[in-house]
Amino acid sequence: MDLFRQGLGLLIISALPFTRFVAAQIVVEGSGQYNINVTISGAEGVKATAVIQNDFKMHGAFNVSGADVAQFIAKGTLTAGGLSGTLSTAGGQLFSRTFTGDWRAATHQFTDAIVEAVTGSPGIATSKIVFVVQKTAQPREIKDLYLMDIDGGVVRPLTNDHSLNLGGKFDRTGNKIVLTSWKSGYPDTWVIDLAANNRTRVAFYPGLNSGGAFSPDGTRIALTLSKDGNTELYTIAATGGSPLRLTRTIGTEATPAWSPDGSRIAYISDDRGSPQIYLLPAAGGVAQRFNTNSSYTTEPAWSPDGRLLAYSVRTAGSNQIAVSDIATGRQNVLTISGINETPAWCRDSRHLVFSRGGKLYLIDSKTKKSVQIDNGLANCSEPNVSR
Amino acid sequence: MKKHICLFAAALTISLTACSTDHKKIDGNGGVTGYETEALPDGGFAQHERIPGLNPDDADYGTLAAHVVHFDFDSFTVRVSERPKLEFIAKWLAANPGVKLVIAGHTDSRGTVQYNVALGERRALATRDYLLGLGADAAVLTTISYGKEHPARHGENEGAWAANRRAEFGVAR
Repeated sequence: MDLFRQGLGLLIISALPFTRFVAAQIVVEGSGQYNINVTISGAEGVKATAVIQNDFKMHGAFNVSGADVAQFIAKGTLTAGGLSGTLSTAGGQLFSRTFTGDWRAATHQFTDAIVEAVTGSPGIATSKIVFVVQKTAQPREIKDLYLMDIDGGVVRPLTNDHSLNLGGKFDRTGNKIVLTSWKSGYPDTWVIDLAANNRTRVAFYPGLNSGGAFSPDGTRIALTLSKDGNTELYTIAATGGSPLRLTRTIGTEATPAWSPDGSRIAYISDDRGSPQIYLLPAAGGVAQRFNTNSSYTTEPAWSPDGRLLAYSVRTAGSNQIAVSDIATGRQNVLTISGINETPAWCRDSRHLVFSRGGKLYLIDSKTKKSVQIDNGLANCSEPNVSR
Repeated sequence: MKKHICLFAAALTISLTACSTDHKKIDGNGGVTGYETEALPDGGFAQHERIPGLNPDDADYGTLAAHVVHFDFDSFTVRVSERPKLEFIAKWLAANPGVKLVIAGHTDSRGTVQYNVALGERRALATRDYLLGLGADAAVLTTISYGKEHPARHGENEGAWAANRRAEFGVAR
């Protein structure tokens, strides 16, 4: 399994003859779409069937088909406590499992179990998105943080402050969100605890406290502070305090993103005139510039498998999402036109969410196909997705 | 909510008063820490404090509206053309002792959200540093950034962009 997740599985499996089911979890990845027929019965069965079919359409590796041409047949039954589901092929049953939660949550779990069984990579249907909604344009802009399922369902406001709330980012557990809020009048860093349903202000130094990102182990937050007279990168304890300064330039440092092993931080600096990505040891040390073939690169995001950096590159009048392989530097520009901003990786290191023109999108970095996430809200931006 | 802010401001005031004599400062956790023993950066930036009781949301940005400082694209350098405005502000501060100012940095709509938040702060800090160079008292100046979130003029054109790349002066009240 580890080999598959690291991408090496592609080489090994594609060399095999076209026998899909050596074991339940082996299928050729990246070879196109799998035909799947999926139905869910029970009290909310019609709605649940629509939700799971949409999950597969959004994922992109599946084609929802009739039973006659399906390679995979998924059947679910909603129960009082969740859902029991089976996945089968012509060769027999691959799994029979139960999922707990309300019908919608259990349905997304069923999706992810199927995706993992078929592709060997984790599904993303149970992920949540935290994002920003601009509520009014006059006299002063108000932005609030919202939470929703990755398919746009179950939208819930997290702030309602008559102020700016920007840049929400999940910790690895998905239970906490760090954000920048102007609630006090000044830009402070706050942590929302979804389980406890509260929020705590963790950094309110003089000047700027922005761009916070949790370390993978959840103990530190990397962020921009200007308390020492210039905008620099620091880490602080996730509960506040113990600042560790990482940069010392005359320019502007912003948007830290941790490597998944916590050893390095990618961030942007305009110390050489325009914003560029740099990589730095998280404990402090020498920063190295990361080449993106662009003079204006912002918003680095490190893939969960550690191999890729996503970011946005600005050209005249547009902004595109690109991904680079960190080891080889090979670049893949995912979007073509418009102002595409704030890429964030899903847990499978394959899909990303981003915003364009006030709408949120999910994009498959392998096929470059994107789908709009329909959440019924206008003026959305800065999506971040839970692991 | 208002009550909450006032309580916090009161607490901050007390804390700052309590520790101002022995050169301590408030850390982000609300506790008091000593100065960190780290060198100033090459630019020799001065540390600064939030000003107790000065909430930027309540400041008067009208009085000094004629002296808004403008910047070039993706730049925080104070242009030669803007220096007379800052000389005016420095004289105004000298003529109004005790009056406190918040310097609010903004960017145009181009570029991404978080970088613009940081760039807006850098513009506010550059403005503040220029005023300190003219002899302004650091104790009456504080900075804030709104990034690209609060444009002075809506629109995607050179005129709006130029108007939005700015540092404004809010008088405490």
